[in-house]
Amino acid sequence: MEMVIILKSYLIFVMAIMVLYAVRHFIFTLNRFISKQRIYYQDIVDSELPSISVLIPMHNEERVAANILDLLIATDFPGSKLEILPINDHSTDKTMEILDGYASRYPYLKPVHRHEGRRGKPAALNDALKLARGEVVVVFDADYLPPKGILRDIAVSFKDPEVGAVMGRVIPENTQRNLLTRLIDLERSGGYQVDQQARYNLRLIPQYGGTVGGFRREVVSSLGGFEPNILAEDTELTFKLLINGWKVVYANRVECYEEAPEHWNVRARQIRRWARGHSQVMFRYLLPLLRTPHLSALEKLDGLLLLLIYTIPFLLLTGIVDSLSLFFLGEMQIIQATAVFLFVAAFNTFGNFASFYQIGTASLLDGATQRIRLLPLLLFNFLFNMWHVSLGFMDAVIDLVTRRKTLWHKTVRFREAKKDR
Amino acid sequence: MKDIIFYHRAYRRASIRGKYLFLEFIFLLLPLLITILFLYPEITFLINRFAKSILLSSLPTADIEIIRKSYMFSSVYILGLNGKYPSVMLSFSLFLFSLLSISLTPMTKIPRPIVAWVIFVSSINLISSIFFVLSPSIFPYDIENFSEFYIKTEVSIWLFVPILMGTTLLFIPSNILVRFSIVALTLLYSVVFGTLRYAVFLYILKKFSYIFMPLLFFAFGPLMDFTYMVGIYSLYCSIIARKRNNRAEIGVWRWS
Repeated sequence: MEMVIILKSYLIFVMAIMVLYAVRHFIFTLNRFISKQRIYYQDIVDSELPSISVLIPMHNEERVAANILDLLIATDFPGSKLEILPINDHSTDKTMEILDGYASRYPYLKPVHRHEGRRGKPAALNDALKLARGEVVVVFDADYLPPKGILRDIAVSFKDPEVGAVMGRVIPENTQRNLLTRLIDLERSGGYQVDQQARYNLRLIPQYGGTVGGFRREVVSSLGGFEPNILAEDTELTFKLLINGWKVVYANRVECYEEAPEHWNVRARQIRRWARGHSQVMFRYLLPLLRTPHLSALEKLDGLLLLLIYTIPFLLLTGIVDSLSLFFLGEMQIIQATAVFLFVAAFNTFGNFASFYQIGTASLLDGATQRIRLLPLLLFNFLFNMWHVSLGFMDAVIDLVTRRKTLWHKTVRFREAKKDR
Repeated sequence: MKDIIFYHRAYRRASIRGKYLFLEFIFLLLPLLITILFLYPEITFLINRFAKSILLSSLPTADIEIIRKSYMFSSVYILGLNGKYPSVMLSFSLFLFSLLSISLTPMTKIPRPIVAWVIFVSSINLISSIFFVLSPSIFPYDIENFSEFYIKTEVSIWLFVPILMGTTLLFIPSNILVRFSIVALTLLYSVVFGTLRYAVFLYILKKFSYIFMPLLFFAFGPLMDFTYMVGIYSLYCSIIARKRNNRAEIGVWRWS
C-alpha cells in the first residue's frame, strides 16, 4: 500500500513538473508573438569597437575548416582589431596543413596546434585563452558559416559594460537533407526565435550557446576559464557569469548557419553529450545560483528551470515506468482520467526540446510555410530524445559519484571538403 | 528583385488587438465546452451503440450490454462484455516476439526514432506477457473496466481539445470564426476517431485477450489524440504563414 502511495505521489509530481514547463513555454510563446520586443545592440554604430579574438576549436575538421576560415577572412571587421585563432585539437587528418596554409597567407590568422594535454573543447579554449589578445573572445564551432557583418554585431554588445557574454541565433543550413535535419531545424527555430528571445525580452536568462557568441576575455580568465571535465562549457559559462554579476544577452538578429547532424546516431551522441554536460553544470551550479545576490527571484526561477531542463526527460521516462507499474497494480482507475490525460498531453507538450506551439509560432514568425507541417512528426523524436537525454543524465550522475574523467566526442561532419584552398 | 520586403524576422511580432483577446478566448472555448458538458452522456451512449454493433457483426455470439455509470455532473455509458485471459502459448509467443524485437531491431538500419518506438511498444508487450505467464488470474481489469476507463478518458479529451486548441489558436492572427471552426473540427475529429478506435480496441481485447490492454492504452491511447491535434494546428499555421507572405498581408506584422 505504501508503495502504491509513493508511486502515485511520484506520478502527480511528474505531472506537476510537466504542467509547470508547459506554462513556462506558453508564457514565452505569448511574449515573443505579441509583446514589444527587446532589440539587441546591432543598430549602434561605433568606430571604437573592442578588439576581438575569434576562437575555432577543431578536431579533425578537414571537411569544414576552409569554409569557416574563408568566411571569417571576408568579414568586415577592422583587420587591426582582429585575430583568428583556429585551434587544432589533436587532429590526425589534414586540419593542421589547412590551418598552416591559411596562416602563411594571413598574418592575423594564428593557428594553435595542440598535440599534448587533454583533448576537448573546454581544454582547447583554455589554452587558446592564454594566447588570445582581444578584449572580446568570439567562438565558432568549425562547421559554422559566419556572414560578413557578424563579428561587428557580436562585438558591439560589449560597449555595454554590464554584458559578460552574448549569444547569436543558430540556423541549420542543410535543412533540406532529410527528415532529421528538418526536425532539428524546427527545434532550433523554436529554441532561438521564441525561447531565447522571450527570455531576453523578459530579462530572464538567455543562454550563451558556445558558438555564434562571445565573452569578455579577461572576465572569463579571471573566473578560471573552463572546467575541462564539463561537457557543456557554454552552459557553465552562462551560469558562472550570471552568478558573478555579469549579464548574458541574446542577439536574435545575429544569425549564423550551422551544419545539423544528418544521421540519427550522430544526433543521439550529440544530445547525450549535451544532456550530460548540462546536468554536470546543474549539479555544480544549482546551489550557487540560488544563493547569488546578483539575480532577482524570477531570474533564479528561470535559471533553475533552465538547469533542470535535461532532467525532465529522465523524469518522464521514470514517470512512464511508474504509470505502467500502477497499471499492473490495478491502481489506474483511482487516478482521475483527466489527470492521466494531462500527464500524457503535458509530456508530449514538452517531450521535445520545445513545445509544439512554441515551434509553430517560431515558424510563423520566420515566415516558413512548409516546415510547420512536420510538427506532428516530432512525435517520432519524442522517445528518441527522451531515451538519449536520459542516458546523458545518468552519465552525469555517474560522473558526479565517481569523479571520472570525461571524454569529448566530436560531432561528425557531413559536408564535402572544399577543393581549392 | 523582391516584390515586397517585410520586417526582418528577428524582431517582428504579430499585430493583435489585446483588448479583444479575452472575448475571443471565451468565444473559442465556452460554446464547445458547454456543448460537451451537456452532450457527453448522449455521445458516449452513441459511441457504445456503434461499438456494440461493430462487435456483434464480427463476434455474433458475444454477450454485450450497454451499462450506465455516473461520472462528473451526469453519467457515461460503457460496454459490459466478457473478455478472456491469454493462453499460455499466446503469452509465451508474445514474450519471445517482444524479446526478439527489443534485441534485434537496434541492429537493423531502421531509423533510430522508429527503433525507439519498436522498443517502447515491445517493452510494454514484454512486461504484459511476463505478467500473464506468471499470474494471469491477478490481472486487475476486465473489458468493462477498460471500457469505463477509456470512455472517461475520452470525455476528458473532448473537454481538453477546446482548451488546448483554443489557447494555442488564440494568438494566430486570423478570422475568429475560422479559428472557431478549426477548434470545432478538431473536436469532431476527436469524437469520430475516438469512436472508431474504441471499437477496434474492444475487438482486439475480446478477440485476442487482455494481454494487449497495456499496449493499447499506453502506446495508442491519449498520445495519439495529441498527435492529430498538433497535426491540425500545424496545417492551419502553415496556411496562415503562406497568407502572411502575400503583399495584401503587409500590415499583419509589427516591428519591435
